[in-house]
Amino acid sequence: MKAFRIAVIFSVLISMSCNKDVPALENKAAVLNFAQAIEADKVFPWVEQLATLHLNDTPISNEGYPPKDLFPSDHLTRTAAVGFVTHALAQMGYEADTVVLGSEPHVAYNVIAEHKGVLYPDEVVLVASHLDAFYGGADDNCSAVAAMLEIARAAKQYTFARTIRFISFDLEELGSVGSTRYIEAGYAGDVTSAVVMDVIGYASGEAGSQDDVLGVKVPDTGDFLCVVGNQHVAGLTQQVVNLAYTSDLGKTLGIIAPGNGNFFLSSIFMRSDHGLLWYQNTPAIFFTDGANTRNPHYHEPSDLPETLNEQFLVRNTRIIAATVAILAEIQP
Amino acid sequence: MAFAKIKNGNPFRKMFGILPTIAAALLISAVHPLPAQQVTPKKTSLSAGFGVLLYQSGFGLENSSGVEVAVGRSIREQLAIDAGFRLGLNPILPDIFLRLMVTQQFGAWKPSVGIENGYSNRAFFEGDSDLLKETRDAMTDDMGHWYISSHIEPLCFGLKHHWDISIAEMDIGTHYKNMGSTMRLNVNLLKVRKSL
Amino acid sequence: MKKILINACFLFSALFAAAQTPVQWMPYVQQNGVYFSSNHVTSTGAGIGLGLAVGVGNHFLAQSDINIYWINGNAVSTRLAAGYKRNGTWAPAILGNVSLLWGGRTEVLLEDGQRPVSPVAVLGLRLAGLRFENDKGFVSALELGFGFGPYQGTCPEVSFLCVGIRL
Repeated sequence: MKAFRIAVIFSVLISMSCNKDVPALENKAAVLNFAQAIEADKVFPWVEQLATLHLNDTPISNEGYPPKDLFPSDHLTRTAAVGFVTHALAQMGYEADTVVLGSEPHVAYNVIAEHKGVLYPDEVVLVASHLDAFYGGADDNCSAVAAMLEIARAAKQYTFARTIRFISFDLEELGSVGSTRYIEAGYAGDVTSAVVMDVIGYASGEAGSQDDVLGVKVPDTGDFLCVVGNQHVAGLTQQVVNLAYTSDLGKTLGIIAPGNGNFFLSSIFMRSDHGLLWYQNTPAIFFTDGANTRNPHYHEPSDLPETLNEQFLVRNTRIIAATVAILAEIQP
Repeated sequence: MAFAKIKNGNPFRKMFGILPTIAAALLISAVHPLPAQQVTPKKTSLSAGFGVLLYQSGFGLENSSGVEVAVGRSIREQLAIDAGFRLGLNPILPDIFLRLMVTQQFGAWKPSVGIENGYSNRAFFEGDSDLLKETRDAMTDDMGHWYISSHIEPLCFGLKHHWDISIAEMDIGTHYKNMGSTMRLNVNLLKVRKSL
Repeated sequence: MKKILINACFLFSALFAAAQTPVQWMPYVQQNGVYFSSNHVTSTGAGIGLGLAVGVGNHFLAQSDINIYWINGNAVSTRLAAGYKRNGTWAPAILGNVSLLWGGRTEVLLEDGQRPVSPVAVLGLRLAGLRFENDKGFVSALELGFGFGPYQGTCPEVSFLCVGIRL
């Protein structure tokens, strides 16, 4: 009898196993409209300008950070990029500011600009990319800075319920230094959610171009944008993947890390400026092309604009713009 | 994006390479008839050992060697409690622990499995460079001290005069606070125990 | 797949019910590890488990246990197993099992954004070659198992050491 009861319990549990459906998306038309406001010919010029600046800039001190494999710390630049992003946002009509944190030799210069919300202006949606780079850094991370700037340009024509804070973090390559200091100093106390982009411009249609990610199986053709969430943003991750799929915005792969993501194996998905937000249970969604699991030019002198896929970057920018519109609640 | 590297290599690879020999040793020791099975079990024991503790978190991997001493007490024929103290050697930091063990005996072979609860001061992450340091510090400053782990003594053998020797004991566990975010792996390379 | 697994559960209980000989109950503790890898779910870790083994006669063995694993979130598995064991001090066993994997895992969403099934059910086989019994209980070292699950999933598992007491 005991064995029969155990069998019944197991059978009920097996039959109850189910998929979780995608949560319904409100205001889908307005979200898609904003995504389509991204202009294809405006994104890539940002990449080219930024990469040129990095290549001609003077590397910052790498004291305390000896170079090693995949970490050429003696070729890290950011100074010209700080000025460029500040100027670009100001040209769009934003009040661009710089939050300076830390001390020499590694002061962090985080550039910010805000688009005020009309209903909940004290609730902030962070839209982040990091502006420091090794060598030219076309994919890592001119691609994401370019996407952020284009989203900022398009957002000027729309209203949102929440405030959107565009931020280019500094010194991400030294271990998310700019974002960690920003959060630890209390500047992110009003952040209700975040969109973080890091390395979003490289794609390949060849079989075998994509590696698995630390034991997590992914398709072996690297032609998709990874949309990475944890349990706190599982529903949003589903919505973004579903929107990209049903509206033909672009090819995505949704990944959801366990819990808040802060576990030994899943921490691979925390390796950017959203890491500390995840740890503190702030909802944050992360976009990436997979970095060194796909791009052979990652952290190499060959990370140049001509290695990127322009169409792929534009499509990714639209997907990310749609995500911003969902979180900030775009107004009709 | 930035990455951390494993420090000081992997001390466990050699151990797992000699599995066939271990399997043969277990078979031989288990079927060998041993008069000790008929001896009344001693209630109290003292043990001392040496091992390596590995801590893994999302952004850090640290190892340190340490010594362990414990007092054990049988509460039933196959159940025992151990209370002990571990001292890390590099740096010098303590753990205290309590274990409940289930034991069997086959010939000279005396394997045990148990649950360990403890308080540890050895959960820290330094790294060998400043890379990821600020983020790692922000994510590990509230790890807490209390932990739970599973403890096995797969290669414990009884010797003469109520001495036991045990090699390759393994504890796998985590801290209660932010459970699962840090993984604790302790391997006692060698331990000796005297039943009193 | 669900129908196969449900039928397997009832087959185990039917075999158990058909036995006419005395039954030995043996609660046990084990330290084990699992690595379920598929196109949409990765559930892995090492940790501890508690279970109940039932020996019927000289050759039939059934087990049911619950385990928690750490490394990739807090994953939990519940397992139901049954099979054949040798009679004697050296008592190796071969067991068929049905496991359910719950809790922490990394998910790759389906193409349209749906999440993969939860829990994940795995059907497999386990070999306990270093298993020993006496009148007080049993010990089993290095049990090796392999199973299959949804989304072309494979599931190698190992029980490092398992010790049980005969009630």
